[in-house]
Amino acid sequence: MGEAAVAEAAVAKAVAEAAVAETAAVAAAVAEAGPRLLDGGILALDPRARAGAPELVIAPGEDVRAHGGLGNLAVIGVAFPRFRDGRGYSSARILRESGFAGDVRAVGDVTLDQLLFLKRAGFSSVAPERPIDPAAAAVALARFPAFYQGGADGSVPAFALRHGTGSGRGPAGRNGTGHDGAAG
Amino acid sequence: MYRYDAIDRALVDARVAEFRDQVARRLSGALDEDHFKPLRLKNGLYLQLHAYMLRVAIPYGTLSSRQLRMLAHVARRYDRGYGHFTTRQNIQYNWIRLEEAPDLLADLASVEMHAMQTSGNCIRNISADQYAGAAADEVADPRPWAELLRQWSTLHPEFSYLPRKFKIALTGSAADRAAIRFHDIGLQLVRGPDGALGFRVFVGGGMGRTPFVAPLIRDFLPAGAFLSYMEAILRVYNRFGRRDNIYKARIKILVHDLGAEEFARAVEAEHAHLRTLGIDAPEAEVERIAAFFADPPFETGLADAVEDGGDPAFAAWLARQVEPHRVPGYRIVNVSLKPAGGIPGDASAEQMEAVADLAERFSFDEVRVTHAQNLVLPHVRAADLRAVYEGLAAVGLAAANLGLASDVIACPGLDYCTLANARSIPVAMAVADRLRPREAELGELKIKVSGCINACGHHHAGHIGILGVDRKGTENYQLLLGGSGAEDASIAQILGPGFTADGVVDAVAKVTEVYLRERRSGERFLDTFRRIGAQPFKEAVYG
Amino acid sequence: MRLLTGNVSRTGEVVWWAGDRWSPDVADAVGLEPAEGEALLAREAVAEKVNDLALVEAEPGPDGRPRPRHIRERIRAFGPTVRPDLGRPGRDWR
Repeated sequence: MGEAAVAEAAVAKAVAEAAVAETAAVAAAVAEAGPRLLDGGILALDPRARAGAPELVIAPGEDVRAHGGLGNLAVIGVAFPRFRDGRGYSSARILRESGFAGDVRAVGDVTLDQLLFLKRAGFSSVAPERPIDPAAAAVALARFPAFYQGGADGSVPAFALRHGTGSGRGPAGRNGTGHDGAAG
Repeated sequence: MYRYDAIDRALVDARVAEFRDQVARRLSGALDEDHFKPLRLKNGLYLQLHAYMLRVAIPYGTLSSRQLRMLAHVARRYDRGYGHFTTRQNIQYNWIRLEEAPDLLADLASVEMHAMQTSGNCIRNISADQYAGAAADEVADPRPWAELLRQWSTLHPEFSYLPRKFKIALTGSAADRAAIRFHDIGLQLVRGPDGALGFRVFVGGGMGRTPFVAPLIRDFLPAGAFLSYMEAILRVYNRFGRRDNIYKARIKILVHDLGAEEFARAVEAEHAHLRTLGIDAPEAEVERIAAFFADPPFETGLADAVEDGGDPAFAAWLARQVEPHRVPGYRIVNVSLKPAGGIPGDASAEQMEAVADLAERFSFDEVRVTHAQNLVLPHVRAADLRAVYEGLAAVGLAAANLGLASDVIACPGLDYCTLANARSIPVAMAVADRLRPREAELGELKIKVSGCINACGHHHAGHIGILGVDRKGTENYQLLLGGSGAEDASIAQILGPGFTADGVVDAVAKVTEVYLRERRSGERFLDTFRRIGAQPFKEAVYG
Repeated sequence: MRLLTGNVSRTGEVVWWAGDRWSPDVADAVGLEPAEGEALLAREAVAEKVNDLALVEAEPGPDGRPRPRHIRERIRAFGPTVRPDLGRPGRDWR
């Protein structure tokens, strides 16, 4: 590695470390807001969570795009009859990409170890079959200081942290530039 | 080589901490096996016949000397002194204790390695051409794109509970050394008419119970839309891939059922939406990653000639194991992990360390792993070939058999694997022993052995494939002919009824005799088979 | 006759039911009648200390002790056939 490259690497490292610290601060803020238990064993993952039953529950095989006029609903459930069936993650992201700002709730066989994926896919609450300890959930949700992808929970992708482009923000942020990054 | 920054490092460290917590919860009983199993699988930990097996990712088959030395350390400290290089450029350890796995992963993290997503229904380790950055025929280096994919696919929020596993391979050359058309997604870097970089995108290839050669679904994907297009393919698959039947859950079945054109339409429609969401990495990120793969400081003005000094063994090794390099004065050295009497793909800790030392002294610190279960020293000066040869010979790795009959690919089979129906390794070794005396005469002959229908031994892509099955409680072997995992990809066809282990070795010998009798000048076994068809081979074996 | 076998969760080690405990040595295994085996399997499955529990067919071996009938289980009992140096000393999978 040449001197210039070393210097560049040092800068990149500093930027990345700052970015990680920033993300950790964001994560801490989110942790303050949740997770917390609502009535009926519902675990809130972020401030969009609402008490009360979902007005609509999307089954795994159901095309979430086939439903119109969801914007007026307060809570949309997405069913997970088995935790291994990951179709609900796409349903949640599509809901968030379409601008749905209410509560998206994972309902069914969801456990501590899916929470982080669920949250990043845009779920704001879960109604698990077996109770999840909010303290353990807080630890699980704060585990990773950064991610490579943007999340529908507003988390930014690693490349945005590295370059400070602000691009690639998840649809919840909706301030992405749609940068196509034509690469040479 | 790519080096972790603070983000990469923090992520892998957090993953180790997470797994340590999950293992502790499993051992305390707080987590039951049903819920723990997918978690350990996503960290590469299987329960096999004798113990846990850990599959460590070797991203796109690239290793530094330091990393290879760590793999040797892991073999000694946590296993029984050896590891097994797999057909997807990974390494597997066969004797791992669950309670020690978190420490093992922490050791790997210290050299920027991990075992994330080497198992489970998620996007697996990205594989690529082992000659990347060195091949004389390369259009563009696939490694930066493979690293971009590694990052994009790691802990993806939407694609971590797919219908089934998902494998992606890339090549930057027209010659396909990565078997891209047998992958869920195969990517070939190409230049467009205006010189811009892009990809030919193949989707829906695979082996297993229902083998398919992947059809082309996009002739030229601009590099700038790379990740959003991958996201579109994965979203279509995650939403519409079958989940009712494990044998029909791979993307190849979806592509086949919809038809390639309809599948491509669905992907294009999803992509039109996704590409507006800022998923694609900015140019600065692509450049940041590409900078790690800049040329090492090659010397110029080197003599390009290689003298064999009249040593026939060295001359044979030079002729077989050494390939041209795009820089004059350098060569690509293939290290055979198929020595006579050896287990295909196995390497001892001592051998790994010896190769690491040679890479450090003679190959700019770089080692590659191939899907054919061999190693590569990608950048060796012509003048150093003799020293490399002698260093390899000292640890029993100087076999000169690349692409020949004794360079057999084999999965672990029933000696280790809980899915296997029959043993692969002993059959591979017996076939190699039988054909070795005539292998120079037989020329390029790719023999691939799997111990079950899952086809980790790539039997469908073998010029000669062998598939072990369970027939009424005993091992039985089917013989397949005519497959290819290269740019002329094809699926091998079953020749007829199966054989015992000894019988299939005899049958392989017979089909090679048919080839020697029927071949025309310049024809490989595969060419002769394609020209004359299966019948003469059937007659020789069953007649 | 059947043998109850599995792999220890903590270590992955192959074990055989030896009447009152789990043993790593198939020579200690006790032959079980079907009903007895099913009951034991159900009990041990709940305990969750041993994974991949299975009742496997067995027959008397050359030494009179039960040994697994299928090659898969014999390989589990005696080690990989291609690495006899790693198997149980003095035992043969054949």
